[in-house]
Amino acid sequence: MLETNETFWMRLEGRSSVHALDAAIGYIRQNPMRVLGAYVLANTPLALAVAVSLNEVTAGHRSGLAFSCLLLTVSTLWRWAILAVMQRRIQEDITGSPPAPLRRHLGRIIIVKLAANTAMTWGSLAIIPAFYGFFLSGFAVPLLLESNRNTYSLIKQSIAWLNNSRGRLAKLSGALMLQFFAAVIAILVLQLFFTSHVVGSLMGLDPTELALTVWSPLWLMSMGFFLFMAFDFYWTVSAVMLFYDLQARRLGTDLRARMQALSEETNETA
Amino acid sequence: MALKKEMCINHPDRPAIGVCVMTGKAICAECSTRYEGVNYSKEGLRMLQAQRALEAGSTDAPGMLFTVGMIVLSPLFLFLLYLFYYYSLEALLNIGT
Repeated sequence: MLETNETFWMRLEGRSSVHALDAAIGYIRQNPMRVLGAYVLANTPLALAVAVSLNEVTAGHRSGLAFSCLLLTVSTLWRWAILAVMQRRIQEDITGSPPAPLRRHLGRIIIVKLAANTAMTWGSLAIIPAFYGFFLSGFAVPLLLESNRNTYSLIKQSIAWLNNSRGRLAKLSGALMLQFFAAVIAILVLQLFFTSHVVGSLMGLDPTELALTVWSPLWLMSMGFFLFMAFDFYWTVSAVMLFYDLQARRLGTDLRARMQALSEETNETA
Repeated sequence: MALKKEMCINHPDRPAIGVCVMTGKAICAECSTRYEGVNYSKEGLRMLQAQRALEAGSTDAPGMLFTVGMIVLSPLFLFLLYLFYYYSLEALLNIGT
């Protein structure tokens, strides 16, 4: 745990809707090794499962889909368990004291994430459940570790927070989607530039053959997965920040001031 | 943006470090007690205690029902996750072919 003091500051007026996203970037820049290792450990089995699945898809092996999906499901459960460890660390740094032990609450965290994920995936057909599922899945860990109250009252409370902050959260979702699409376009343009103009002249490769590889379905799906991983990492950190930002009034604290104090402590210890 | 500083409601010469979420009053470090991650003053803690005593008197049937329901439904949610992956891969396969 980082060395922290118990200083809390008064709430600032006029918080921006994307304050949690800024705080996440600040946290990742200050403490990358505190979260990156856990994130890689969480997603390595999923990456392998995705590699197997994409291989089956591009080879057209319908018979292999069932096994691939089983691998994906199991690796998702592993991923959620290790991401809970990661988010607990962030929560500890934000609050300045260790939250509840994870092993006692991991069962209900996984169940809540399963339900939220169902709302996010299958509920996306009706849009509204996906909205709640997305945010609830993101901050299930800090929500359930912070209090010993029963799951029903905690979820009811968090849905009330989400309802009260609908406008801000819609702007935040919009900002995330814009960033994602901008990243997709940037990668595609860069790829086009490198394959058409740079790689061929530098390495003597035939641009036509290279284009066949980098514009193939397998390559594009793999790039899509890596981009998803980058945004998922960013969202995993942002979700904890968002949880505390939504509670700023309730906790009598300010996330920005807490991040500022954390930054000063990190500079002093460095 | 400059941080706005307030003084403790009980000790006017000391700067406040937080706000009691029950009473809404600014309090210094000495007056503040942190419970379940939340700042409370002495008065606020008494109010919380009274509130919790009231809640404990009532039955927690909805909470228990919800927990049991979630445990019973969790295999269904797991199966739905599996199905989601299956239909997504099917869709990718159909796009590819």
